[in-house]
Amino acid sequence: MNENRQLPEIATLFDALALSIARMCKHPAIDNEQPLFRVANKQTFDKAPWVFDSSLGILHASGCRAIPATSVSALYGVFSATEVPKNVARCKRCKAMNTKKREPETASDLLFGVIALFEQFSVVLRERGSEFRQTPRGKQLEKSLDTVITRIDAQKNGGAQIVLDLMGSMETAMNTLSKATKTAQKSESEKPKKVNNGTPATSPKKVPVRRSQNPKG
Amino acid sequence: MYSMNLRQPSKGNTLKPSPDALRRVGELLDNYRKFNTELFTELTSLYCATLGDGDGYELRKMVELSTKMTLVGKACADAAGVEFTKRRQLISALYGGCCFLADSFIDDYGEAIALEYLSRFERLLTTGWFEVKNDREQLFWVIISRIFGLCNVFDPMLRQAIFSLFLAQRRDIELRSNASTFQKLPRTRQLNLLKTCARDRSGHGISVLAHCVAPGLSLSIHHYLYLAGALIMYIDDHGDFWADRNSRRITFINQVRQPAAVLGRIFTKTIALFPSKGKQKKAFILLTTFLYRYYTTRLEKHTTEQKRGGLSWSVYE
Repeated sequence: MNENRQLPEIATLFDALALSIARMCKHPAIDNEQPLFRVANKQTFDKAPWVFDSSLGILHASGCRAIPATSVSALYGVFSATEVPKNVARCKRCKAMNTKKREPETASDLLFGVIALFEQFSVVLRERGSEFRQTPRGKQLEKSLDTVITRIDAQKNGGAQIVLDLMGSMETAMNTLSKATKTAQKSESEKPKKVNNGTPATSPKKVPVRRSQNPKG
Repeated sequence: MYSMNLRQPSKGNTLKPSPDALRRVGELLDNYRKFNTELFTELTSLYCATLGDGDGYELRKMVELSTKMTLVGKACADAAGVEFTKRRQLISALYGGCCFLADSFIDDYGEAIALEYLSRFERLLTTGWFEVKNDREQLFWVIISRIFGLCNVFDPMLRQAIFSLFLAQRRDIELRSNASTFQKLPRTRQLNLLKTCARDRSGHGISVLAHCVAPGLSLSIHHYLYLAGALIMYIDDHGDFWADRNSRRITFINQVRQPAAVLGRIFTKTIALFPSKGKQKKAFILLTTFLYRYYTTRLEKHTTEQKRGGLSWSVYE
């Protein structure tokens, strides 16, 4: 069977890329204390409103006291009600699936993620760029992109700053939009509710002050 | 206490599968073995030639584990109702290779190496960085990267399964490292800890495979597959009973007084919990057939190895 041989070059190229990334772990210019990506994100897992006991097949609200001690290591966070089919058992004690909402992610988190990656690799990218320009292919590219490269080369930081400023503007716009959305939601939730609190208090009657009729003296 | 009880044993599941089902499992295993032999012969020749050294014992063990994982991957796809495409087959095969190497880091080089591997694997999971130090780790990294490239490792259930698997491995090593403290616990507590640890190692292990192969897997199917994973671990430990005893490795199965009887009860109870009617039953036929075959072959292995004193170097299917 030769299915595995169909795209051997692409697979080995991918392997080479993966090994290069692993070698970058030791590169002095890389801040390897900053995460490249995070598969295990316990903070996120802990925020799940519900948890599913994989060993017993029961859904609980997060923190339910009916979860057996032996099931704690078998719990999986459930973030959305749509993930739970009807035939899954629910805990009667905590009545899992009462409304609990997860905080929405902000679009700016994505933007900052892109900025963080860019910043983490900017030194390596510059080094690689300068090496690549010495190669025949690099020289050929340089000729055809001469104007753009010259500008960026002459204003290295300015070029990066332009990109960052653009991202900053986008982030500001997203924040404005997000604030506007929140304000709209807040004003919607603060609309006066029709609650009967009894008849409103009447304003006190003014009692005329009686003044003495006796003349002074 | 619970509004619906998924855990009522079903009357529809008999323990012994049909001859056709057993034959089919045999054919699938043969096909997957051929594919995986080619795959790992190529990978080891590129990234870790020492694995194929000597009579190729380690390579054969790796191929066997990955063959079983491929079949389990197929069973997970059937249970989830998705087609077992070449991509899913490749993911399952690679996952088997990954498990083989990860188990070797934990089990074969002593406690210090196991703890060091754990801390580096934790770093991989929390930062994405992994420093490759030797050929074996190079192969491990290549396999993991290919798996990451073939599936969405950020799927919420998959991420949790990967992290939970790591935590289960860590607990297992900690239990072994703190043997003197462990021995002071009451026997019931010891057995509960060992049983839960084994359940989690393989339960989460199968969950990782299932969510790689079938992302968006329903919670009820996830539950059944988790139980199947736990059963696989107990069966495996029964097969390795004498080898584990020789290397003074304690497991739940090798600590109970009547391991065969205990395993039999766990096997019967687990199979009885799987869906037993209609389409759902059909979806689980491959899994239950595989589990039956694995259970019977490991009962045989237990008996064979007992006669050999647990020092056999045979590679079992």
